[in-house]
Amino acid sequence: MQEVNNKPVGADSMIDIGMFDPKTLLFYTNSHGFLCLKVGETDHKRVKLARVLPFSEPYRYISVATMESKEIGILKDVADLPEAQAAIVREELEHRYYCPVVTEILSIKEKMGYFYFDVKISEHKKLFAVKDISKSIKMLDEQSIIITDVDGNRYQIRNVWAIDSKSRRRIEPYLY
Amino acid sequence: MQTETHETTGVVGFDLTPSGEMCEGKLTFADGILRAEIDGKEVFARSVDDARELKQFTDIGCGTLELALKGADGIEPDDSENLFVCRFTMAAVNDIAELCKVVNYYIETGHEGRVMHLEKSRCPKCGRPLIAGLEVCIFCVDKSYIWRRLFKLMRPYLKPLIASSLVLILSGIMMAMAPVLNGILTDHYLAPSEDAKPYFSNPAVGVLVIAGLLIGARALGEFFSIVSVRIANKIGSRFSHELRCEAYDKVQKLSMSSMSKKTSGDLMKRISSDTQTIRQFIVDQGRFMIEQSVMFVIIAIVLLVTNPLLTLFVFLPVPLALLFISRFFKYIHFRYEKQWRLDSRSNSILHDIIKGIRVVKTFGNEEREIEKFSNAREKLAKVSMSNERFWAEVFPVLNFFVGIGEFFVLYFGGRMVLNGTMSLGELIQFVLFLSYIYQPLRWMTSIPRWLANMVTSLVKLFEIFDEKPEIDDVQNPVEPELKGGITFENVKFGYKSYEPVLKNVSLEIRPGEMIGLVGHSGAGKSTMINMVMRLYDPNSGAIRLDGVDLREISQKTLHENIGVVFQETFLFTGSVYENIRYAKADATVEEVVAAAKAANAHEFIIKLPDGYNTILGENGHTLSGGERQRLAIARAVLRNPKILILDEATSALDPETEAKIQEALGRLVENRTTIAIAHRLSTLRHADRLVVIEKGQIAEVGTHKELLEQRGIYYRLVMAQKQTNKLHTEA
Repeated sequence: MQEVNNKPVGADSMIDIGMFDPKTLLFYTNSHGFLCLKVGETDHKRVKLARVLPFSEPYRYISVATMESKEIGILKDVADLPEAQAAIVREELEHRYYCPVVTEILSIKEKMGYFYFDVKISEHKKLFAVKDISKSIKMLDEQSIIITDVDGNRYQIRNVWAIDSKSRRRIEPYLY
Repeated sequence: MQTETHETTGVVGFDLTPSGEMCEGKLTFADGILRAEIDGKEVFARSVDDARELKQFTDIGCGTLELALKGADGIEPDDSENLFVCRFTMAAVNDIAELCKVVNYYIETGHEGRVMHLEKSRCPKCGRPLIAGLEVCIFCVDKSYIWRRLFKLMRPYLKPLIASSLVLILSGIMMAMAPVLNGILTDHYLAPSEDAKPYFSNPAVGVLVIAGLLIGARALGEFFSIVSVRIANKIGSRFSHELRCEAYDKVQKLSMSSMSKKTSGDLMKRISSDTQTIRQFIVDQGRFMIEQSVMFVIIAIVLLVTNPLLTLFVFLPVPLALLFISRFFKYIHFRYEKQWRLDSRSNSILHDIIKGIRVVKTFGNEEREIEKFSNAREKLAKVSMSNERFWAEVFPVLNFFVGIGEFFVLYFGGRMVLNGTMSLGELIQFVLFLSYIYQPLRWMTSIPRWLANMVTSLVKLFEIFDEKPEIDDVQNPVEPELKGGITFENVKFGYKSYEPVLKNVSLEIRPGEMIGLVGHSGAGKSTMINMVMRLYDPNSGAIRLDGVDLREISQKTLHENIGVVFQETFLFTGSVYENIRYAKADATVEEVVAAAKAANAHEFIIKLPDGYNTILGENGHTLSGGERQRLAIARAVLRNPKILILDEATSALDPETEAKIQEALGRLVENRTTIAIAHRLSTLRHADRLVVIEKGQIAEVGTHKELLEQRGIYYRLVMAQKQTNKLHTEA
């Protein structure tokens, strides 16, 4: 990046990416429980949220769009909102991105190139199948992983080194 | 055609509570009332009479079902007033889409349909997810059924197969003669006991005869083994050839919709490698298994007869050893799998760097890439070092334990020889037989894996054999003389049941008319022509040719009357001549040349040194895009179809070539019903009517001039293209 007049010249100075000023925003839920957004004077009756960086920045850089998928703007950080609104937005994000946490791996069996995972998600047992294991298990950093099953569901393990040793031994061969 | 044999209830399951906990949910639709219950408790119950639509929204890893109500006074409300019905994971998405169809059908027509054709997503027995495209659960499939079926397939080869196995057993017996002869050699001639009765008084002759017998037995053994392999190979080749032909034949008959569920790689694998697995099993492993098992039994009997007590020592460690070996190899497999993955990762990094070297260099990121690569290599080095060490340390120990029976035999056998309860020859025979018993042990641990591989391959093949083509001729298909009139009648269709692509399309095309289909990418244009070709059947509504439902017409008649030119032309490996004649196998040379001339292809073909006999490489790479396109048009001309479909036939060509092809097409469309898709709108100027498709529906119909005057979607598309063309000319 080149420095001119102490002001960095980057891609962001070429185009307006529509970053919201959090002070002008009002997130609220309507009587049907759907997320709505008032930006200044404009009231958007129902909006959709999308994470720009779902893995690395789950609560920062949130794209807000209308139901017709037209982007209204980007919220830089959920924490910039007043706490009540931030809570609504966080809840909506967690709803939209469903990714249960695997707490225990009971078994991983291979059949016909598919891997069958028998896991526990909090207290519930869950069976799911994974195709092409090297692509379906993604290490986000040195400890957390996301597993995507054949239906398109995702499961996460927050810290593979912190789960019980049996579970870890089962998953370890598939991590790199 | 969809049949009603699957599920015939209005009940589907869902699996999430509103807050995202897992649950057992049930959605029911009956008598116009939609109900949802979670773990037996009703959470939603409402009549859909005032509803506009039951809508499914997919999020990431989950989705929601909402009931959209009609707005007051006919104002179309947005989705902000929807009623939330339930949440579900992607596992339930297909079933819920089916329910949506039923409910929405009811909302539109007031008739109750049924939830049909639920794709089973879980094994009803064990609850494991089923693999897309596989109807049976690989865990619960009835193995005996598979064996019975394999037996049936193999019946014609049974006699030679048994013969081959018998010969192999003979070979095994010959090979097993060595220890016995060694025993006799020792007891009778080398260290004869007092009561030994040698066959030859001269020990030298005896030794010579036994040596001769050893050579003879060995030679015979090898001979039998060769014979057995030859028989097996012969049956194997024939068997796999027949399997392959049957599978190939079946795949050809499958409809596009079941084809598109499986990737071409998957199908290739089924035809080539699954049949290969089965062949291998029958020719090698299966035969070997019979031989080894029979040998095992024979040797066990020989040993038991010689000395029961010592035999016990031989077999004592066997189960333990088996367990040890299988555990050991499972563990080692894990370790090496990890090494393999790391290796493939570092290779792919290297591949990336080398392939993208220009990008790496222009951004000056060499250092970063080198570090990335060396990090990956370092990890790999660590793992492989640890694996090597593990192997070096553990394997000898393992070998020691597996062979522990040998020590028992030597110790106790040695004592027996010293006591005089056993002869030296018997001991030698025993020790030699040991290797015959222990050697196959490792091999035996891999039997379950072989069997599993074989069963899975069989299941996959049987599945192809059993699949009923979804698009099939009806009992008595009609074969009308077609004039080329096409009617779309309220056609609804989606490749995935929860994503409708065509919504209520109705269109009447007169014989001989040229229709241009226009619209954004993904609007449903290609789907419409796929349906005219009957690659797919509509979910509801009908497509008629000259008033006859497409499903009533025999596929042969249909295919004879439809010609297609795609954007991507697929040319088979073979000559230009063969490729053109592909459309009509009995075409004469005159007809082929005429077709090539009509397609403006003749002039370039004749310039090729080998003319019409020019062999095209894989997928015809020796020809330019325009040339390939002209061959495709020649094919279509040769077929002389009543209906012609042009799917982006002239895109991706330079203007000059396009002009030539347009000229050829101009000749081709005369007296035929033509449906053309083109992004470059100028190509469609001559169309009798233009049909604008927008989000799966017909938005505008009219001539070029009429649509321009309407100033609607078509007008905007034309203007946008003019703008880009202007930019092009300015640049």
